[in-house]
Formats: sequence, C-alpha cells, structure tokens
Amino acid sequence: MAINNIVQQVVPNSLESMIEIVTQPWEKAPLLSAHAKGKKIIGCFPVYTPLEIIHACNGAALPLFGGGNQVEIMNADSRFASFICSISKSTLELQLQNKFRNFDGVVLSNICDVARNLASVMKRNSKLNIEYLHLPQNDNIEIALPYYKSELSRFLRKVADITGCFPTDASLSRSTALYNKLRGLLEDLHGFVSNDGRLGAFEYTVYLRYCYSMLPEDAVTFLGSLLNSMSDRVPRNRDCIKIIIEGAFCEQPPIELIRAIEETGCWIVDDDFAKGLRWHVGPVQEKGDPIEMLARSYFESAQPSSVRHDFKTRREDLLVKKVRKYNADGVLFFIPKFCEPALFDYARYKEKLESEGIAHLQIEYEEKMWTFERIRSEVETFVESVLFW
Amino acid sequence: MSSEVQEMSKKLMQDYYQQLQDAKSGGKPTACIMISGNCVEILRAFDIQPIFPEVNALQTAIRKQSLPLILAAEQRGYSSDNCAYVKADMGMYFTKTGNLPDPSFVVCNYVGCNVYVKWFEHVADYFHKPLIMIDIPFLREKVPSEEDVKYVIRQLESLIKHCEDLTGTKFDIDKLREILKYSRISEDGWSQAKDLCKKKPAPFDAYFDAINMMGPINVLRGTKEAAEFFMKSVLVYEQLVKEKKGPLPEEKFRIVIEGPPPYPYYRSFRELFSKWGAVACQSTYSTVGGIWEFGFRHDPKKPLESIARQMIIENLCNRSLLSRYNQIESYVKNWSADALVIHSVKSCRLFSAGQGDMRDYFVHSLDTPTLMIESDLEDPRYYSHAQLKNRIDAFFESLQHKRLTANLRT
Ligand code: SF4
Ligand code: SF4
Repeated sequence: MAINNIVQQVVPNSLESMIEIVTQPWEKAPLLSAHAKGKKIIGCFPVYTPLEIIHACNGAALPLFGGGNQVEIMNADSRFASFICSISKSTLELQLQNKFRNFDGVVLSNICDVARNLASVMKRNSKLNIEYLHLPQNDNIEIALPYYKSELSRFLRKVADITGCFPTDASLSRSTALYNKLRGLLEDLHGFVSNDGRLGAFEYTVYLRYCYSMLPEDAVTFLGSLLNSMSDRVPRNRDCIKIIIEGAFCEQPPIELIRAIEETGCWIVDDDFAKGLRWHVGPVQEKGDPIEMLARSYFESAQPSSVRHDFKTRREDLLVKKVRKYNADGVLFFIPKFCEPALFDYARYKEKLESEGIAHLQIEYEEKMWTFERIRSEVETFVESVLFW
Repeated sequence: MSSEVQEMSKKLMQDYYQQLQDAKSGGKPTACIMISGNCVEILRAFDIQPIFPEVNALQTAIRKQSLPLILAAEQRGYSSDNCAYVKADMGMYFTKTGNLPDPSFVVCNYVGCNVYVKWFEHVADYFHKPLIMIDIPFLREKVPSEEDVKYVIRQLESLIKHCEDLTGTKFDIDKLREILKYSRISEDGWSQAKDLCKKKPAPFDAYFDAINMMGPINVLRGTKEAAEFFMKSVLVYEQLVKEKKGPLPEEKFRIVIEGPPPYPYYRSFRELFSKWGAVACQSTYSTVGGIWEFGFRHDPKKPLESIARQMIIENLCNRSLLSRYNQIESYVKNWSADALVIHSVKSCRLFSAGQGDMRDYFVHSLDTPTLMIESDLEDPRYYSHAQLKNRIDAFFESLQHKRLTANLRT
C-alpha cells in the first residue's frame, strides 16, 4: 500500500492499526517486507543505536521495545530473576519463541548491567548475530573521540559482514542525511505536542515508533503528509496541567497507559519515551568523514540521558531548565520497575526538584500491565494537588 | 581454615583503615576508587590514599550495621531496587557515620558495572569533588582492539595529570614500576594459593576464606606489605597441603560458588555448607578485582599498558556472562568440583541477571549438579535463613544420595 494511502486511511482514524504495528513490530513492522527482497533485518535493543550505519550497509534497522503486553512469558522467567526489568525478559522470550525468525542480528549496548548480560543469554540461545556496542562514557571528547570512531568502524564492519555490503563514505553520508531529515520532521511534529498540544504525546509516540518500523525513506514520505494534515487540527483546550515525563527511555509503558495519563488532565509537553529514536539534538554533520561526524554528534549534540554520562552537565539541572522552558507544572517520573539507571537518577532529580519547589510524582510501571486504574487515580490526585497548590 | 592467614589479613586491613584515619587527620590527598579492575597502583605512585566505598559498604554489612544506612538512603529517594552497596555507602555520608576522610577526588574506574558510574556521580556530587572517568570498553570480542587499549591508556595518562596537579608531584614512572613489581608478587601468590585448592582437601575455602586474600590483592596491591602477606600465606597453605589439612575436619564435597556472599549473614550462611562438609575449591566472586589464576601479571616493563589490559580483560566484571560460564566450567573441571552453587543477589545485577540461564547451561549442557539460591550481599531484609537451609540441605542430601548409589553400583 502506498504511504499516502496509509496516511489517508490511518490518520487519524486508523491510529489503532498503527498501534497494532508498533506493539508487535517483530511481526508487523512494514520494513520486515524488505527481508523478502534480500535486505537483512537488524533489531536494535534500546536505548540508542547508530541506525545510519545499518542503513548505509543496506540493512533494515528495527528498533525493539520488548514484547510489551503482547507476549506471554513462558521461558524467560527462569533465565532472569524476579527482580529484573520486564523488557529484558520479554525480549528474550520473543527470541525463545522464534519471533525474531526474520532477523539477522540484534544490537545491544552498555546501558545497564541487565542489557549487558542479556546480550550473552541471547547469544547462547540462538544463532542470531548478537552485536554489543560499548558507547563511551567519558565525556572528554579529545580522549574519547578516537575510541568511539574505532568502535563505530568496528560496528560497521560487523554489520557489513551480515549484510554483505560495505558502504562508501558517500553512501554513509546519504544515510546520515536521510536520518537527519527523519529526525527533523519528527522534531517538527513534536512541536505540535509541546507548543499548542494539537497532538497528544500518546499519538506522537505512536507515530514516532511507527516511523521507525518503516524504512526511513518511507517514514519521511509518511511524515510529510502527516505534518500537512496538522493544520486541520485545533490547539488543545488549556484546561489541564503541563507535565514532563522522565524515566521511560528504555522499557516502554503500555501505549494505552500514556493515553490514560493524558485523559486525567495532563498535557505531556515533553517526555523521553523511546528516547534513543530522538537521540541527536539537531542534525548530524553531513560533510566530512561520516563516521567522525556521527561520533562527534554523540558527544556534542546527544540528548542528556541516564545511560549516557556527561559529567559537565548535571541532568537534574537540565530537567529544571526543561520545566522552566515549557512552563510545566510538574514532572512525572515514569520508571520501569527494577530499572536501575532510571531509579538512581530519580534520587538526584527528586532532591533537585524539591529544592526548586517543582511538583513531581514517581510511578513505576511494567510493560505487561493491562489495567491502569491504580496509576490513573494516583495521577488524578497529583493533578488535583497541582491545580489546588 | 588457617587462622594465621586470617590474622595477617585482619592486621593488614586494620593498618589500612588506620592509614585512612591518618590521611584524614594529616590532610593527605585521598581518592575514591572501585574494586573491580582497579588502577590503584597509579594512586600509590603519588602516595594518594585510596578509599574503597565497596569495602566500606561490606564492612557495615559484616558488622550488621548496614540496614539503617540503607534506610537512610531510601528515605532520600533511592529505591529498594537499587544496589544496596551504593545505599549503604551514601547512607554513611547522609547519616555522618563512620570516620572516613572525604575524598580529594573520585576515580570512576567504570569496569563493567554500570552502577559504578551512578554511584560515583553521586559521591562526587555529594562531596563537590572532581570525578575522573576511566571508561573501560567492555570486552565484547575475544581480545580488545588496539584502540580499546589506547583509549584506556590515554585516560590513565589523564588521571596521572590530575594526580600531578593535585599533589604537585611529578609522575615518576620508576616508582610505578617498583609498585608493579610488588603487584606481581601478590598476583603470583594469589595464583599459587588458588592453585593449591586443586588439592584434596583444599587448604582453604576459596569462597569464604578467599575474602582474607581479597583485601590484600584488591585494596593493598602494589604494597610491600601485601606482597609479603601473599608470600607468607602461600607457605602456610603449602604446609596445610602437606599435612592434608583443610578448613573443615573433613572435606566431603567440593563446590564452586558463583556470586557474592551475603555479608550480613556471612557466618551463618557459611555454616549451611560447612555442616555438609562442603568446601569451595573455587569461586567467581573472588575474581571481581582480577583474575590472576589464569596467568596474567602486571608488567613493570609496560606499566600503563599492562594496567590497561588488566582493567579491560583480566577481571570478572568486564567480561561477558558467557566468559563467566567458561571460567566456571574450567573451575569445575580443573579444580575437580562436585557441584556448582549459584548465589543470586538482588543488589547486583551484574552478577545475577541471567544466572537462570547459567543454571540451565550447567545442568543441561554440562550435567553439573547446580543449586541456585537467593538473598543479598548487603541488605539483610532479603536473607531468609530457613528457606536457604531447606534448599541447601535438600541439595546436599541428593548429592549424597547420588554418591551412595554410585558407590553401591561400583
Ligand atoms: S529497563 Fe532499565 S534496567 Fe531494563 S534494560 Fe532498560 S535500562 Fe536496563
Ligand atoms: S551492582 Fe554489583 S558490582 Fe556493581 S556496585 Fe553493586 S554490588 Fe558492586
């Protein structure tokens, strides 16, 4: 089906069909059809993967977000203990249930100790190529840049071994340009979320994930039409509180839960859902050595993140800045159960927000949740407390 | 168990804590650093007193003082699901307990454990002190690339520069070489001692008693005192081997233990194994700082490069879970173990995430009798003695039964 047709049919009426795709991308992602045409499919575990490299190697990169509430955990529970986050279990479960049968590889990185060991367990339990990236945690660019360039080059060689295509610099630059375009359009779309709320965070998140379930070329076309259709919408009614969501950068909450939060009267002006898909702030340089440009942008223009350590900038200060920028009424810490990077950061955020008198609420979720009543009522109480503060 | 080695170790660690006191009263420069694959030799080359927050945290657990500290940290917003080592350490600062000096700076040797980074961010922030990052590329291929090694060396050089600025002392590479010579002696001793555990009976328990060697090898490595400790300990262990003496009156089972011990209940946990005559002939936890038993030594001829290689390759924490399987496999085979015991701790996902798969591998692929039990290394709330006892008893009963029936058949 042509993308324009998809747009006509699914925006906004068929959002449900997009939700179906983004919650079961391993089976329903449009880019999987490229497999039949000989493209290799590489799954990317959160948070961040340099997708440009996979694209330049003629591969199709599919960001993964675990099994959500779409997979019954039957085998993975015995591999990972009860105090380990859900996404690691559901990802392994998908693999054990052979749901990655059309994949040729999966990439993970050093976001946390769980993801690191998951890479090993996945390797032992399948014939898939499992690649592990060590993203630099030293923010001294002079020291870390040569290392990271070599790591990206190593990654490129690994991907090229899988796809059988070693890219030229020109094709790498073209892939960078394409992803720049995609990210730019998504940024424009996000403007409608934060500026006047004509688009909700729930809907935006669906589009965001939907775009990455397609090949980037198709996503760019899709977004062009979607952005055009935004002028038909009316800005949001202001009878609500503005909040920022923090902590949901890796394991994703059930998509319906985001809708439920919006329904309680929260205008989510900014969030970190699927943060890796919006990793770069601004375009990656398209001129010059493409690997170096990608590496540079990791240090110079990546989002602050609980899994990318930048000691020059305190993340809690940035969060406060963000609250001020959007004139937000509060912060909702939305943290996957047992997620150490998010939980550790919460301790610092909390202290800072309290000292600044910014309202906040911490909620823990699991991807396999079905009912949201408890969370909904907690958020409702929070909204009321902010409104009558 | 050799009480002689234990006494020597105790004395060394007491002296170390005294040095911390002296540093505090004398205003000497100090630096926080982590255990795993550390580069303590560089600090030593500048006479900077190292502080090991992990060791401080475990000391509070052994003394049964960790819970109030953990709770103090939780009150500040730390989660019950965060590593309790961090909470006990931060709790000490929040409650102003302990008598440790403040660090002059913080060296984050990010060697495998992601929690280290968070922990030291928080420590540096709390003390308003600089944080020097040593980002160690995870060992994601069989060997590290030259770029990986260069990256670490460059970071070590930047640490050296920082130490020079802090102390006003010029870096003396010959002093570092001398220190590394002592490191080598300790590593040789460690390795010989571990090797002696191949004997039956093993002269010491390579899990519960190995703690006596872990302080000297990880905290005091590079000192003359640690080197002497290892030389003497090996003599003691050799003598025990000659006399066919082990830590228990009779060594009935030889086990390999994977995972950290429950420090708040160290003794009673140990007794659960001792009563069955079970002795650990090897353990993975003892290698968090470094794996010396397979031959690696620091090299005074290549000081920075060998430090870098040790940080990247030669410690358990920076290796993949699958290479841990290989390490255990070698322990089971070469140290002639009867079984594997996996102690899964809630705090430490570096150790515990995926241990169910490890059990599956050892039981189904290698046919090694394997027991998996759960508690925590620092938080006493996760230790259930009765539950552990039931599981451990049932396991050894079945091992004993198997042995009896096998004997009858032969
Ligand atoms: S949810 Fe958190 S703990 Fe789990 S894999 Fe992601 S970052 Fe790691
Ligand atoms: S997670 Fe494990 S290795 Fe890391 S600090 Fe905690 S106990 Fe130590």
